[in-house]
Amino acid sequence: MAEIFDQHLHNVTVHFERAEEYPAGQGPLKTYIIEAHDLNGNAPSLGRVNDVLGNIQERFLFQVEPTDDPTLAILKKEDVRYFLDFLNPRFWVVHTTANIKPSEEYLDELVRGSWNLDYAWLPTQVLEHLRKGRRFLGFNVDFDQTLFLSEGAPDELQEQAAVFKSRYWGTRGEKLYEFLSQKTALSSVLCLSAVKYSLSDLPCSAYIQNELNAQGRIKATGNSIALHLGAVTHLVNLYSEMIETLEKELGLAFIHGEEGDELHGYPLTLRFSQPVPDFLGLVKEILSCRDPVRFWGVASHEERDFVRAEVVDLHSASRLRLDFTPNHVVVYLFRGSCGNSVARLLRIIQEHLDPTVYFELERPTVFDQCKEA
Amino acid sequence: MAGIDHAILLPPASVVKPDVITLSRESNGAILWECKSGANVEIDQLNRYRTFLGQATAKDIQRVTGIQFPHPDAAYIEVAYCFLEEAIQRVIGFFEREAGMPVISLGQTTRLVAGEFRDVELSKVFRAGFATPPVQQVPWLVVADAQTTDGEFALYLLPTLVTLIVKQTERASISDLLSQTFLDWQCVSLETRGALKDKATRLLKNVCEAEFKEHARYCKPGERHHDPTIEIVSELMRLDASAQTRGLQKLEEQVKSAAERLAEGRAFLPAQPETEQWSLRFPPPDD
Repeated sequence: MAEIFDQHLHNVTVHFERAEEYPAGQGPLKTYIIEAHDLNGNAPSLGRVNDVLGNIQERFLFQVEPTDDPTLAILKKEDVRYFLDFLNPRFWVVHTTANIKPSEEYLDELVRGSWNLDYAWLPTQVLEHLRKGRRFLGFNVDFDQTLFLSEGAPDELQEQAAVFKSRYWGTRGEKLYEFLSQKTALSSVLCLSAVKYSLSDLPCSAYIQNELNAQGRIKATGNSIALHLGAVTHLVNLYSEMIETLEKELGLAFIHGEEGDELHGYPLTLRFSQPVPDFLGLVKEILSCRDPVRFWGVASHEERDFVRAEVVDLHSASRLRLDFTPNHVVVYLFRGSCGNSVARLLRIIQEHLDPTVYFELERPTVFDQCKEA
Repeated sequence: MAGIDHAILLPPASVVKPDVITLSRESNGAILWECKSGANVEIDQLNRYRTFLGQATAKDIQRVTGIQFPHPDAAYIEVAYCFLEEAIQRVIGFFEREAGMPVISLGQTTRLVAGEFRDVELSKVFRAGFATPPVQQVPWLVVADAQTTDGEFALYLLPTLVTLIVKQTERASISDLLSQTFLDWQCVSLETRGALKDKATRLLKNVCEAEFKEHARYCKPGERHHDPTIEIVSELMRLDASAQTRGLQKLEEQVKSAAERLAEGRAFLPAQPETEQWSLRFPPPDD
């Protein structure tokens, strides 16, 4: 696999922003992180991964070809070929050199249609952390408050809803991003959705340019597959630590022991920097079953500024409970539920409500390291 | 916390059932909390607690809850009552005269208003009082007990049934559904667990023949399954993306209407399909 991609990198020179224009097989190498979970929220066993692959073949009409490596499979649909690496059975790595449009269309169909698969959801603070210490070559910011407006919301609210989208590719991206982040008027709308950086190994004249987006997709161009795979492994390890931390810290259960019934885990409060402009719009959209949130929910208590809902994450079939107020959302993650549900909720709140919201856990964790870096 | 809703037998034929039992390992003692929502003292219940305190040992608590006191032979047990602030005026005189048990008032401030705890530090903290967080800020961890209304109970239980539909699970026992719904399932007494299971069985049987008819089927205990089970028959997750989303949104409406119906004790009335009546009958006579 590495040889194929190394050859591909040497044969193509591409501009990421024109990825859709390249002939089939001539675009950048694309790598995706897919989170896979079993019934109890844990990593699936190798046997279960094979069941999932069987399901992919049967339901989504992918051709699945095993390889000599028991943790590597080739998936094919039409003329798109993916290399699926499930060495880490919880966080799969999918590579393809196919064009972006069909490769993402088929992958979306697969992830959206499977309760046990999801993308990675990187908070803006983690994207910023990942570009630090690397040569920064650009960024995307994407913020749009209209998602959380009720249907028929007053014109005044619609006019006030902030939308801030921009893309900058080039040198001195770091200076521009720092300039924007220091502007108080922009901090409430500056939500990173992709970062572009380069890595190099000067003695070997090796380099790679990566564009990493908030759903864990890396587009790569350059001449070193080793540098690319190193960056992917770093991302998988970091994301895996994030999700496992959320599950370990937050997974709620009363456990019976010698000292009585101890509560393990705690509800997590996601605090907004300002009250939500359209409170009911926020609640309705989060519980609408629609993309991108994909939560099903029913309110168990409703007051003017308070809604408590029993929730099912449709991506993981996990049980959650959410308390909404105009100032915060409290997430109750049931033991055995998937931490990715919380990561997705946070990411979507950042993109559509408040980019400054972040994980405030009771103990120092990987999230603090990312923020402080 | 050492237990929720545990019934403790008192020989020869009496029982106390504190709402919560807490254990302090530092002070080697347990407090049995009786939480009252009304403004009346149930004298019979109070007398049972008095008898209980005169007879019970740490081992009785250990046997029921499974907790271990650091020094069972020297352990103490006490009973504390909690009342809402508005009820305090009606009951405080009685407790000051007769009961001698610690009484907590729950209002904007949580405060010890009568009696003392055995643990002097605990008494100091409660006597000084502390702000009670608004209900909206109190974590909602223990959501239901045997007295929870059918409608409210359905709002907690049916979302777990939805997880089975999403996962396309073939079958699940009612105990499994309960343990995935209630965080405290493993900690409640066997008696409460039995009551919750009966309630869940009754409600699930009802909704499987009504709002959830096309998604789930209730199966009586049989040779293969000793417990009643729920079989998932839903085709919802096999639909295309937009039909699936609409179906899931409809499911939310169905959970709400099932909860309302159960709360009001109504029977299920299936929606009548809208049809052209005339096509099924003789044409109207010509005048």
